[in-house]
Amino acid sequence: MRRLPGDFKPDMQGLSKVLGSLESEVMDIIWRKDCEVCVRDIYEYLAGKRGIAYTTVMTIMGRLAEKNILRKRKEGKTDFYTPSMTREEFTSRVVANVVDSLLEDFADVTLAHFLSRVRQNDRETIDRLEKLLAEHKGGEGGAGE
Amino acid sequence: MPANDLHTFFIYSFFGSGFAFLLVLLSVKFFSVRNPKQRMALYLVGLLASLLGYGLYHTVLDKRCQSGALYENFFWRFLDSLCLLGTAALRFLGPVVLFMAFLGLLRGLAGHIYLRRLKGCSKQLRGCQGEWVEEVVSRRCRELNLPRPEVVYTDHPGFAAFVLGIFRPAVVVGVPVLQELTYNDVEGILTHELLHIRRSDTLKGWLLYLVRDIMFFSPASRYFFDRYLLERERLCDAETARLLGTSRSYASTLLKVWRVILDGGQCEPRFSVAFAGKKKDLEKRVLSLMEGQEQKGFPGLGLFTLALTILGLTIIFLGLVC
Repeated sequence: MRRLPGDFKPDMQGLSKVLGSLESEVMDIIWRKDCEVCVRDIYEYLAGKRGIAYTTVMTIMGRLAEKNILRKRKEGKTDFYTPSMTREEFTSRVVANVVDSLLEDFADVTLAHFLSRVRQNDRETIDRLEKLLAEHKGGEGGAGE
Repeated sequence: MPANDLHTFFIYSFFGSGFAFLLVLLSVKFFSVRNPKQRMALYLVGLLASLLGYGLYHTVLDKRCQSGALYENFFWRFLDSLCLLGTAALRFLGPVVLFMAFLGLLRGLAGHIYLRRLKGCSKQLRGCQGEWVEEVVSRRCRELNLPRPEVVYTDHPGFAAFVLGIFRPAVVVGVPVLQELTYNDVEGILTHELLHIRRSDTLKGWLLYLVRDIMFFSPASRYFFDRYLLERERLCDAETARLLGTSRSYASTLLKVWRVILDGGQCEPRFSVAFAGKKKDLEKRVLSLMEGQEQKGFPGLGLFTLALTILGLTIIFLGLVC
């Protein structure tokens, strides 16, 4: 399974297909500005159009930096952000990811995975097996010894 | 062969695979067949027995309805009613079967396209992990007498490695997971994948997917196929452990990769609840390695006899049905 920079939502429009609505709005602004911005720049732009908290904008931009969509640079106490890719590059990457995901799922009959079907609730199973393995008295040796 | 002769396909597939399912399940339990290679052989017999019977009754042997062996009691009239059922199924399920077969062929093409896309984005991996991959692949290919396959690197997260491609399979390596692994882990993973290539598992898997899909209406065929895939992995695990000289360390690699993928957040969402007591395939693989069950083999001649018996009984049963 592959992760896009956000969950893919085919029913949404534009950037909102892969980013949250606020995330896509922030990115839209940053791409249009086409320069380094700080949180305050985006907050002041958005506050003029809708009610939004400064900390919300800060959180959104931090999340976008974690997803590597924005690059962060710290200067003193202020973080400055620039897009790590152009809008066209981002769109291409999204399309490529979606196509690759679809192809991987459709072409699974021609795959031999090392590990597949990893599920979110497997952690307990892994812990239990690791404990069993540590206690296992087989020790090092060839298979079946 | 007239199209209406195909009506027996559905009856044979459904009842034949169901009958074979019982025989195979009983055999595996009764004879304690644990060796993955032998289990694979039995599941393969179960999957193909009904098709073989269908082939025989349309070529060498006669269908009962054509030979005129129609009897006048409830039991035989019941079997005759299956003929009508098969004819009805032909009308509705026949197009679906053709579509599934076409889809299966398309999937082979999709695999080829996917591999080309991955190759297009592949970059040489620098650093020690890249050297490990190249060294392990070269060395193992010499040991296994295997032509060196192409290694494709991708930055897609969520997997360690897989083999992709039907006729000239390549090893696809996931760089984000690879970077969390040691040399021993990388060696284990790549050895496992190269063994898949040596066994032509992607080609066999694709062909068996086609067989399963054209018998999509038979739950037994899905069971056999899933079990076959699990035993295929267990077989490669056992052979990998043998080549590495340690099953414990390799089991540890399986668990580590499992955990790395989970921690990366790239897991399948959970849509269903497993039945109580049903072990996951990954769990079975790790336990098999720990317990070393793979070496306990049924005598070769005994297994051949068993497989032949299952096949013969299934075909005789099909002869009674139609």
